[in-house]
Amino acid sequence: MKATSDSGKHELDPKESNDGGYEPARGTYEEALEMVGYATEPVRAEVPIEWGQIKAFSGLLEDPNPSYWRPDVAEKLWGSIIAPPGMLMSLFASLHWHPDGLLDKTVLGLLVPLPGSTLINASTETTFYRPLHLGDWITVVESVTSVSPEKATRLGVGHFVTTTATYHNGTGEKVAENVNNLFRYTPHEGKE
Amino acid sequence: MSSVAPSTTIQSREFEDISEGEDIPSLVLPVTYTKVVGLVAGTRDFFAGHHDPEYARGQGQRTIYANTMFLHGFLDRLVLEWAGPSWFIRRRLMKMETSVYAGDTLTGTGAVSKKWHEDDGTQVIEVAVQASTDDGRCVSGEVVITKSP
Repeated sequence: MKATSDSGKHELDPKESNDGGYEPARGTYEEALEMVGYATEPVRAEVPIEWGQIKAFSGLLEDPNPSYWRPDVAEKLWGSIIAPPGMLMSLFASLHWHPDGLLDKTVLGLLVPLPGSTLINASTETTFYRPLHLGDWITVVESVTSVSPEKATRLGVGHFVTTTATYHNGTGEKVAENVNNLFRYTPHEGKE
Repeated sequence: MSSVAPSTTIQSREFEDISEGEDIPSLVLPVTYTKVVGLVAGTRDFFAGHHDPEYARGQGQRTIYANTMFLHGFLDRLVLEWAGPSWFIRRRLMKMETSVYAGDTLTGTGAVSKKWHEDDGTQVIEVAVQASTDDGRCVSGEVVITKSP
């Protein structure tokens, strides 16, 4: 695997619709290590930051922060309504369907070839430089930072894949960075 | 982060009134089945572990479980509900130890670990946080918030 990509290089087969059964790339730990340093092209979010989603997200958490609900308060504090910081990663979640076909090209941790049938998120370290303003179109670049040797946890045996995502807004300002640790594993016998 | 002083109707804690070691109020949220499935609307995350119990069990999980973004939002709410909306979340470290399942009640707690000024006068507070269910601790981490003086 090369450190640079052309448009066809690391895409999964186009799917008709996304029912959430994400299939990770399969391979060996040695093949995974070859992908360390690989970086995606910049990808723009499918949607800008929208108030409907802000209200839906904040509503699930029952978070009354006026920065998310009250334009008069939010404008004094930030210049506009802002999204809860926890909504950042959602801007790059795959849609369920798209007329041009779906490609999981933004889920980088799944493109690293490894043994193991499934995945779970282990940790995140997120730094914010600017608020997520209503209407912002966010762009992301992700890279593979490291892949751990095999580890056994309560859930199963696998490898931790660390990826780093850098986010910019439409005017080219850096808004955030996220270092994500994803556990790619095979569940212990008897738990499947 | 704003150049406009907050109005007096926006209640936020003052840096001077915050002490290192201070506990912040705990936060309790029932993580209902509806909320976990509702994450598809709030986060557009269709990953099957969050809405399909059979898939979740195939992963070795008890049932569907809350996603990373929900946990981010919970820790952020925990800290900002105490500090007030004028504070900006600069950094959040979160380690996920066990899953938060549909049907669990999530309790968040935290304590101020450090406070300091930066060279330009920015006020910074670091809060050590964790969230637990009846089965024990699910996530731990730290949230760093800032405010212009």
